[in-house]
Amino acid sequence: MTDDAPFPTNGLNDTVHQRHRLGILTIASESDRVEVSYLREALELTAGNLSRHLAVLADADLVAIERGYHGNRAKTWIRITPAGEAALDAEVAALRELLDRHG
Amino acid sequence: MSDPHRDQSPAELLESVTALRRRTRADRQAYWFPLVLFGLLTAAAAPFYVESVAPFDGKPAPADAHPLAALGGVFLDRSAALGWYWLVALVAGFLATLAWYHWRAERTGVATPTRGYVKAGAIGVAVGLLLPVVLRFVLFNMDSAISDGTRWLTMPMLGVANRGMLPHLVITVGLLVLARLERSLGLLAVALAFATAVIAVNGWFHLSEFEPGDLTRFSFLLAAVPPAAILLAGGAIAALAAKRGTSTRGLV
Repeated sequence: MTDDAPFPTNGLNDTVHQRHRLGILTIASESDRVEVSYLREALELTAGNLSRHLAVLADADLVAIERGYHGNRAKTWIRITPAGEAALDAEVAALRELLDRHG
Repeated sequence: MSDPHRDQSPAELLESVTALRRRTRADRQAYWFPLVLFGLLTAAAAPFYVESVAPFDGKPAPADAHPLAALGGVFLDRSAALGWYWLVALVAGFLATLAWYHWRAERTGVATPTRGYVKAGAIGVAVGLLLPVVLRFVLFNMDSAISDGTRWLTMPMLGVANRGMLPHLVITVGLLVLARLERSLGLLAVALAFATAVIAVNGWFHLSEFEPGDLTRFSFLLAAVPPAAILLAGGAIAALAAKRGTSTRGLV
């Protein structure tokens, strides 16, 4: 790699480079849509913490939040956006490059 | 808000991403149901493939059945009934699979994308109904340069259609699309084994030079029994694996 090559941390996105938000995007990218209770359990987050992370991702247009009902139960579903997919791919690529550089 | 990421190394973050992907995929995958369902539907078609008398090679009956019954071909005594059976079975099978994935998503909280599967089913059934007409037109009504030049493909394909095995190709396409959506190598392996069985059965019928009396009234059961067995075995293994995964998660 030449000295002119951009340092891999340049590829890290502050919104995505956070363990839980990276987890939310990873799970959402593996599915058509995912319910918040699944995210809470998989990431071991409280409802309040998850809600704050989701708000950050939604404000950045990386996920879409859909509210609905199943019978009488209110349900909230999360769907990753194309921008979210791209941000996740870029983050994983940057992490891999960092790993390759520093072992 | 605490910021737990900064003290995590890239290796730990990537490990976490891989573990979450694996867990989500395992929770989302539910392809044992369509395998068992289409296995049962294929097995249930078996009586239609039994002839009332021993057939002989190359006896296509006049194809004057209803166009919507075209999936049953023309070689069998009960081709028209087989065609109606497959039309209903394929539509019901694809819709039941869609309902299954919807129910699973509500139950587990993680949904498999199914739009591509539904599209594959609808297009597959439509192509299955139209293909025999197109193949006969190309073979018997087009310029001989075209019909002779494409005979290597159109003849075997018409054989598949005439034996009432186009529905198997529709099922194959549906399973391959589902394997892509499920990101499942296991489902891909079952779909390829099923396709191989369908090609092998048709290859045997196509390449064998049958004399009258070579085929029995049960010969066409090959169209139903081996393919159904592959789907049912694949579905049973997938169901056991899914059950074991659920039990393991419950113990952790």
